[in-house]
Formats: sequence, C-alpha cells, structure tokens
Amino acid sequence: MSRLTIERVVSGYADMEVLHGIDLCVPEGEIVTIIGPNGAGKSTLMKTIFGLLKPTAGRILFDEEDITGLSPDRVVRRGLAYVPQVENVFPSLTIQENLEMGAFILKGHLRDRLQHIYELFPVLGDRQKARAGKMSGGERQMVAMGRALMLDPRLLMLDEPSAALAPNLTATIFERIAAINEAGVTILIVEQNAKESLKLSDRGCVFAGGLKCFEDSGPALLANEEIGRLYLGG
Amino acid sequence: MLVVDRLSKRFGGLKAVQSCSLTVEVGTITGLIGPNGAGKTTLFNLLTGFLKPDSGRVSLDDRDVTGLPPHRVFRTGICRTFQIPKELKGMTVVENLMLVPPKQLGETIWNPFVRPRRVRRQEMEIRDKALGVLEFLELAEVAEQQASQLSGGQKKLLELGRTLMTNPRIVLLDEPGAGVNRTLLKRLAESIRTLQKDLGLTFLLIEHDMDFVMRLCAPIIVMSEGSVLMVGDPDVVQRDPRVLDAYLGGQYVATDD
Amino acid sequence: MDALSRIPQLLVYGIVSGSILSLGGIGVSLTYSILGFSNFAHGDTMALGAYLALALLPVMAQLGLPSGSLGPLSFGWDFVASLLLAAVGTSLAVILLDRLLFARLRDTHRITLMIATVGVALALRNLLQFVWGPQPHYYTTTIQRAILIPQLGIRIKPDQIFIVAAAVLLALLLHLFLRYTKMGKAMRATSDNTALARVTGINTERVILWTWVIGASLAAVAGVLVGLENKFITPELGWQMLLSIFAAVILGGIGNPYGAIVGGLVVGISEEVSTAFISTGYKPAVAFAILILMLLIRPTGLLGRRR
Repeated sequence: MSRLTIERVVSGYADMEVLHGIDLCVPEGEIVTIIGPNGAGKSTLMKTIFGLLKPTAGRILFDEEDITGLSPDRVVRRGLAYVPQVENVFPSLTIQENLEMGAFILKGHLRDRLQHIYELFPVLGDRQKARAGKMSGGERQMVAMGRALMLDPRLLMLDEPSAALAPNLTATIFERIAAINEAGVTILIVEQNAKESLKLSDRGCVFAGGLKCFEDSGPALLANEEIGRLYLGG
Repeated sequence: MLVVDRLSKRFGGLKAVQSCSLTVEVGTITGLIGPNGAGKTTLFNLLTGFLKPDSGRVSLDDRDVTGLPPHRVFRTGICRTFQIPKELKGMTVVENLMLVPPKQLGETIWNPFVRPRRVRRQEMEIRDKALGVLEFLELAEVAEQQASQLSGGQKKLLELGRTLMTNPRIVLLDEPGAGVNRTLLKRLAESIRTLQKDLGLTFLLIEHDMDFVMRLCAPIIVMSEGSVLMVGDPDVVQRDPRVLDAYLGGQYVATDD
Repeated sequence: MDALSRIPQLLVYGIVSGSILSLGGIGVSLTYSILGFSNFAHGDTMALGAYLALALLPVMAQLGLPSGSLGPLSFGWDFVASLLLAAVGTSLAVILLDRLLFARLRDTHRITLMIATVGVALALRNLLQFVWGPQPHYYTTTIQRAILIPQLGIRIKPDQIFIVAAAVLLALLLHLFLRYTKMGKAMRATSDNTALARVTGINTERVILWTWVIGASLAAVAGVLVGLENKFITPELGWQMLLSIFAAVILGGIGNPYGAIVGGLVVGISEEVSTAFISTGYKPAVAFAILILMLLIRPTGLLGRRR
C-alpha cells in the first residue's frame, strides 16, 4: 500500500513557483531518499506536504486520504512527523520540554513516551533539564528527531538529518533511522550527503528544477555513475 | 599568521574551549575537525569577536586582536561564514553581497548628492563583482530574488559568497558543506583551492564531510573537549587511533583505502 | 527639603508606578514575541479595562457585594470583583478585535499590523471618550491616610501596597504558567520559532488566543490600578503611559516578559527619582532618554537575546 502519494503537485512561494508538478509515491514501511541540487525543491516539497505551503495544483494523499492543504497541526494528527533542516529545536526550552511539545496534541501523561525516546537516544536522557539551545549540533538533531517521534508517527520526514554531524554521529543517526524504520515507521529523507542515506533506502528519487527526473532503488541509484557525477560529488 | 594562544571560554560550568593553542600558517587550507560539541564553533566565535574569551590571546600577523568587536575583527581581515546562514531576509540576493565591501562611497550622507556619478560607478563595479560571485556559485538565476526565499543549501552558498566579496587575509568557514549538494561541494573545494593558489588566501574551515576535508585540507587540526587533540596531515590524522575512536567512528576504517 | 532626602519617598512612588508599567509591559512583550508586532493599542486596552471596571462598580454593588472599605484600603469587595470582571471583559473585547481585524492580517507584513494597532488605539480611545466623555471619573472619593514609616523617611498608602502586591502576585502566576503548564511551554516554543511550533502540532491559533487573554487581562488590571493610584481615570490614561511602557519593554529586551518586569521597575523608578533633580514635566523625557540610551548601548535589552 502507498503511505504517501504526491500527484502532480505545483507549489512554491507567493511570487515564485518551485515545484512544477511533482509525482512521488512512498510505499508503506519503506525508506525513500530524495536527492538533487540546491534549490531543486526538495525542502519545498516537505513544507508543502506538511501544510506550511499551500499547493496551487495537485493532490497529496496519506493512507489514501486527501490531506492537501490541511494545516500543520491537522497533518500531525493524521500521523505525519517532520524534522526541518535547520532551527529544528526550541532553543530556550529544555530537552524534556522540547519532547513534551512533540506530544502537544496528546492529553495525559507522557512518561512512557519520554522513556521510549530516552532509550532510543540515551544522550538525551542524561541531560533532560539542559536547554536545547546550548546543545551541540548532533545532540540537537537527536532532540529534533525525538520530538518528531513522540507521537509514534506512521511517516517520518527528515530534511538533511546528517548535515552538520560528525562522521561517527552520522553513522549513529543512520543506525537509529534504520531502527526506527524496522519498528514500522515509513521514512522520507532529503539528503545531500546521500551516500549513507541511499545505502539504507528502498528507493531513491532525483529532483532537479522542481521536477522529479529519475527514480530507482537506493543501491541502484548509488551505483549509477551519471547520477553520482551529477549529484553525489562523484 | 593566525596564532591562538591558550584561549579559554566557559559557559557557566561548561568549559567550551580550554587552553586551546593553535597556529594557522599563511597560504594553507587548514581543516578543523572534531566531534560535535568539541568547541569548534565557539572557537570561531572567539576568533571573530562574537564572544569574548575568558583568557588567552588571538593574534593575526603579530597584531593582537583578542576581544575586539566583530566589525573591527572583520576589518583586520578575518572573515567568516556561519553554520546557520544569517542572510538579510528583506533584500535581494545580489544586494546581500553588495553590502559586504566596507567603506563604500555611498555610505556617507553627502556623497550620493555631491558625487553621484562616482557613487553610481562604484556601485556598478560592486554589483558586477557580486554577480560574478553569484555566477560562480550557481546562484545567478536567483540574483534578484529575496534572500529569504532561497533554499537552505542556497543560503549556505550565499554565506560563502559574502567572504568572496572582500579581500580577506584569512577566511573562516563554518561547515560550508552542510546541506550543500555534493557535486557542488566538490566544485567549491576546487574553487577554494584556486583562491588559495591564485590569490594566496588562507582558509580555516570546520567540516564534517571527510572526503572534502581529507582531499582539501593540510594540515588538519583535531579538537576534542575544548582543546587541540592533534595536528597533522590527512593521512596521519586518518590513522590516529584517538581520532578514529572519538570522531570518525569504526566504519571509517573499513572504507579507508 | 533637599533633593537627596526625598529619594527614599520617590523610590516608593517609583516602585508603585513601576509595578503598573511592568504589568502593562508584559502584554506588549508577549504580543511582540508570539505575534511579531508592536501593539500600540495596548495603552488604550488598559484604559478600556479601567472604564469597564468603572461601569461594573455600581452593578457589583447592586448585586449585593459589600462596598465598605476592606480594612485600611480605600475600596471594597465590589471593586475587587469589578477589577477581575474587567479583566475578563477586556480579554473578550481583545479576542473579538483579533478575530475581526488582526487574524485577517496575520500573514501580512508586521508593519501593516503595527499600523493597524495604531488605528485600533485611536478608535478605542475615541470610543471611551464618546461613551464616558473627556472628563475624569473616580472609582472612590474616600481620602486615604498614608502610613508613616519614619525610620525610612517614607509614607505609603495601603492602596499602594495593594498595587505592588497585586503586581507581584500576577508576575508570579505568569512565571508559573510559562514554566510549568503545557500552554505556557507552548507559548515559549512559539516565541522561539513559530514555524517549528506549527509543524510540531502546536495549535498556534490557540497560543495566540492565550497571548491576547494574558496580555489583555494584565492590561486591564494595570489600567484599573492606574486609576487607583491617580484617583481618577480619563480616556487618555493608557496612551499617556505608552511611551514609558515601550521604554520598559525595550529596556528589558523586547519579547521577554521577564525583561518587561525588570524594565518596568527601572523606568518607573528612574522617572520618579528624576523629579528630585528636574521638573516633573520632564518625566516622559526620562523614559525617552532611557529608550534612546538603551538602543544605543544594548539594543537587545537587559535580558534580551540575539535574534
């Protein structure tokens, strides 16, 4: 079954169209990575799926239901979660408060959920009361991912999860992503450092100039020499 | 040329940078690597006047620049980029770059009235230069767009563009590669190399993309827990067990050829 | 009496008027941090609160609330009830205003919103003047005896102690709200990063609602307290304080409610103490001077952060 289906979506900003009719399918349980040059519309697509930008044409289906143009808090309620590329934590809030915000729409106790996140990212458990703004890039990325996982989403969207991470942490983050996926969460990733990501991915898509121009399985895309030269730094 | 002597900075109980000493030689592309939280960005902030050190000294060409405010540091020729781009949102991309060169004629109150032609000519020159920089960074298409509309990666490129607008003595780059397409990053590496060779520019850069760092930088400084762990050429650093352990992680050994 | 010996007494006045400025400033600061614009109608929101309390006072007495003075204070339970209901009424009025006007302009430029608040300010003030007239009105005509504390060389009225105590209590409640409640945390999160708050699932419209309610309630209380301290209210009451409030907010760091509290006290005290050395007529100039000085030396404010 298709978890997320994008049909001919046109979107962008007031005076600039960025996506010129994107089609994309993210099957249930898979990891899909989108690669492409800067300005190709990768982040714009994520913002559009999440209701931060309104598409001017096309449809977005989540588990066969139309979610086109829903406001972000409604999208969250449907079971999608999104970790933006930068500024993805609340700096003046503590780690624990950041995670609590992830479950804002829930009522009642969050102890079990918090515990679950701290097990996934032990570093965070050790520093629950520390302000997120004082954390290093890697810890911040974990806070952001933890926040997004608080609601047990069915689809997790990650915009450049490994940007600004040290190599050992990059490896850790991708291990976690694989583990999260194992647990049944479908994952959509946008990456520049795409080699690690494509290794994990069932499917890889190439965006350029606001259109999807190529699609293949992750490893096949990684092996494709022309794609490598054009988009993965050879 | 850039000498850092026993620099320290603490935030509350956290020693972000402690007794950190290092030297950047003229004409090198020096890499600065280390785990997240090792104090690399804090060090940059100390070098460029965004933070005041608790103790220690920073000097550029034997001139003490410790504790100068950022704009004065900039004028001594230390130029930097930010990890998270700080673009001027309300201006176009090309205007963002045109603002960079200091002491432009049109910045005084009277010049635009008294010498309008010279002001305009200088502005055209700066504009041409800015457009050239944008061309180089593959941003020419978006030159007239509002900077706030750029994609995350494009904003990183604009950051780099700012440093190319002046003639700095040393350029500090804070993760130029994060969020930048790898093919473009490879071209950036080439152009950094060109700037170093042809213009004799000196670079100090923080980056986590090891392909980029190992190919481009020499020497490489490894920071850990606020001070320098080791300095060495790429092949030495790559094989150092402490670096492998604390930073690169096990998987790097396997892919090392 | 020479200037220096008057200072302890002026400090007392400063703390009283500073408390009121703080309450007013919190609203301005919250609106700025959550909604992103400077609300020039905030002063007139204070005046609205003051007049609502005035209108409610006879109603409360009719409902049978005792109007006899509470101990040494100059007012009774009817006044306290009016004060609280005025806060509710002002909140409702401001929410209505948000729905009718500000919500429609939410996605426009912040300058547009700021100019809209200037329009609201004028409209509110003239509405008050239309209904109640330009002449002063009084909550009570009781004359209150000040308590003398000779050791400190000061005199203070029980009403003034009430004003300071009310301000401290409200500031404390606000702190607990921001720190420990889910909505309080969501407000801080939204002030940190609105876009991220939205994708996190925080209902930012509800956060905005709470921002207006808190800001308007505190404004109403501040307005009533001004009336209590000055002994009369006019439609100009809030507008006249707006400059001092903005000075306080910027001094403390705009967008930071704690900064507004500190800033309010500093501005209030500076204004009052300055009268020992210069004519009372220059009070607004003192606020202006603080404002300019702060913008020159530390534009992010005392407790402000870099944006």
